[in-house]
Amino acid sequence: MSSFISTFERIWGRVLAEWGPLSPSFWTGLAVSTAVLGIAWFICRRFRSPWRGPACLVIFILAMRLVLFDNSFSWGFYSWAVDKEVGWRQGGVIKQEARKYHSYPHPVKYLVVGSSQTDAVYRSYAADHDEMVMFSLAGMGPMDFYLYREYIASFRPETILLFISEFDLARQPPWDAVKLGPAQGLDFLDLYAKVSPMIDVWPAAEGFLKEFGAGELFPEYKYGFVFRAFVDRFLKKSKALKLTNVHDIEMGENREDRIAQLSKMDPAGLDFGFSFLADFAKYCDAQGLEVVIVEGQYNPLAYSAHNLELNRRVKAQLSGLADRLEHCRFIPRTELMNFTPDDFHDASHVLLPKGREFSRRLVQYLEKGRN
Amino acid sequence: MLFNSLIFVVFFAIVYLLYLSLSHRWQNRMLLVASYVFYGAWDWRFLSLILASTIADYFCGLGIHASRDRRRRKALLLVSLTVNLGLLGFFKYYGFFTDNLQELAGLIGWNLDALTLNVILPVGISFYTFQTLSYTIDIYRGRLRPERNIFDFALFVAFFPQLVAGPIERAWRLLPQISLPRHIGLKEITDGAWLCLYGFFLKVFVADNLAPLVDRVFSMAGPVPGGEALTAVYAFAFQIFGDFAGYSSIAIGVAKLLGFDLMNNFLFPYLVTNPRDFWRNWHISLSTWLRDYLYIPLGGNRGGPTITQRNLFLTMLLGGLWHGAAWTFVLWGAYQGTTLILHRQFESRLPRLRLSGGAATAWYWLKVIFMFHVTCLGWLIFRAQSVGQVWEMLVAIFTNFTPLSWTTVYYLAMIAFYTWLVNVIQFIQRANGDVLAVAGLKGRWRWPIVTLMFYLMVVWGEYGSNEFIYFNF
Repeated sequence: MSSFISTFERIWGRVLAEWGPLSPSFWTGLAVSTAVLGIAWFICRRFRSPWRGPACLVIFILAMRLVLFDNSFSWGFYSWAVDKEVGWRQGGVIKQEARKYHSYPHPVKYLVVGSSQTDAVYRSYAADHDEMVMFSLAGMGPMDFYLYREYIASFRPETILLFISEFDLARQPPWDAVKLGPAQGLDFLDLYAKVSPMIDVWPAAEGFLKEFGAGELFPEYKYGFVFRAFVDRFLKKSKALKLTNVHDIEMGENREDRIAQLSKMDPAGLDFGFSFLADFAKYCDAQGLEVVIVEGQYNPLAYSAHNLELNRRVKAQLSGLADRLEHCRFIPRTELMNFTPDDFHDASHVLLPKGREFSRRLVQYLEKGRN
Repeated sequence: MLFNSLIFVVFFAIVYLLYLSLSHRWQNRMLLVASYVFYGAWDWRFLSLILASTIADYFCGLGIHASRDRRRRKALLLVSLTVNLGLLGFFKYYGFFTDNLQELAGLIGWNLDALTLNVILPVGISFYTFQTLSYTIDIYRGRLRPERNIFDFALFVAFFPQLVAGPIERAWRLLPQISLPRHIGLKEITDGAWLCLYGFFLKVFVADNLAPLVDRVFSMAGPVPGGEALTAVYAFAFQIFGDFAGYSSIAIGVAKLLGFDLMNNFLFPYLVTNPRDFWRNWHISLSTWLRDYLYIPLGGNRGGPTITQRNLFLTMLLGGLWHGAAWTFVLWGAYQGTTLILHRQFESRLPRLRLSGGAATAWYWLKVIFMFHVTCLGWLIFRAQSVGQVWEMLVAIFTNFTPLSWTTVYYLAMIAFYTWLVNVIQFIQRANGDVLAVAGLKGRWRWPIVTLMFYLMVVWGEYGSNEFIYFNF
């Protein structure tokens, strides 16, 4: 028991140091929810009616949600217990859910938001610069920026750094990952209106809308992957079925295939991706948060006449967006540095030292602009 | 339109709201339209088959009842049989028949490729043709008066909850419920809701979670390890139960919400101790149909042991063929016939053990386990893609059995995880002799079970577009 307590203290100490203390709003929310459910249960037990059973059932389910999903401890435990059993995005979502109940321990000057591609660019620099904080999820794209907008704003950063190119805007969102995004409440209707016209282009979008809608009502459904992972871990599914864990896949595998795929980008989703990016930038603008859109880059080996044409379109759209918003800037990469094919691990992820160099130049550029 | 789809939920919500606001007469009209919409959502062209079957049987029924001439009555019955079995035979068995004919002709050097037609199997044709056949046969036998209202009769044929996968209702049960006003009270609603919930649970938690395991093993290239083959057959036993009993439960539940009382299609098939009881618990609407319209007309058990055995065998053989146009189903039917015959042979000859207490319970469970394996052998034949695969898997089970490979243990654990609650529910149902037993439990037992089902369904439910297995039959 004592070793369990000391392990807990050690892990919790690390969490507090990295993510900060639990926020006052968490404690208030917990106290109010517990009190409301307790009173409802008390009334329900004294209420003789055929509806008592269903009412107790609803209270029980809400109480279960409080225990399973609405606190940092559960999510922290899930992260510790099943991080290796779930995919990259799922693991990121678990950490994000745990972290959202904490007040960040110090002011955030630069908040980097993006996918693993963005993560590869900024990670090394952010590791030894406290003023730069990362929020990265596997496959994160403009639609995710929009879905996670409130969480991103909760850091209250001076500047949000994005790393965006046609690579991010033109690709089909990874629906299985995007569906794990935060509940949108009534904004789901807006999301539905935006996504539903794309069903003809991407049939999988229909499934996404259904699943996201189900997740709005039933967090148990959305986060079912956590509990499935517990069962998989307990039964040692990977060993039994000889599955390759995603965490064991080396970065850079299938490099040539990925480059070949990337050279044929589909422009169908360009406006769709851009509309979410624009909504995210407008939201931040209204909150007084600066958004810096740095022109992203993928492996130049994947450049084709078709992609370069898309690049011109994207740059025009991004600079147009920056012109329209007060707190939004667009920085073409010609102002910073161009990566060469040798700077890349694979089709889209740069080597960490090169990313560090890029980040350093970007920070210098931004500081120079401020001074 | 699948029961486990969002579109069905929306469809039923609209139908139900309309239904509750209409008078009895208009309820029936609306249900008829809704049933055609429900069926037409798959393929509206095949509505013509339902209409053909409806019109033929409606007029044949009236004609048989009105005529005193025995030959004319027989001729009209023959018309009904020809229309229904003709449609069923063409759409379901044409391809099977021509494929085999071509293969045979090929052996003697003939080319019969011109016979090939790409015939699509209309969903539910085996179910509604059997249902309407029972109507004309019962009128011919003088056990039923014909329905004069063609719209009510059309609803009897096409009633959407049980149209595509049963239960195969009898006219004497369903037609009066259509003709007379129905009552919808709290009991109908709670029972209907429970049956729907239980059906969804069987489908999305039990059947669809076991399906990948079964598919993985049955589609393995190369030799299958015996342990995995055996566990895949166990998994299939629960998959097909979850799938089919789940569909039936939703169908009966939906009908109950509408005020209809459909017959039970499944009881506790894996808690029985012999093949006869299995067929009293499994697909009851089909087994009683086969008994009433095939086994008894063939002579039943009235002609001595040999004739009885022949009748049993033929009935089950045709029952097997009813499931699908493939040799595996014929073999499965033959296997079921054989087990029934063997049971009949041995039942009277084996000495009866006089046991009590724990020994009786242990003996009962031994028999249940033995019977489960007899059933599983049948499921292996049923699920296999070919007769050759049946043989390969049997060889693997008996000659390449590594009982504790990690994969086998994992499969067994998966089966235990996905079936433990349904087994508990089955025990409760059996102890009370009622499939609605859980709905009738005291709140302190009922609600925890319902909550658990809810959580298991929401968290571990599989919500892909898996069709129900019996839609193929």
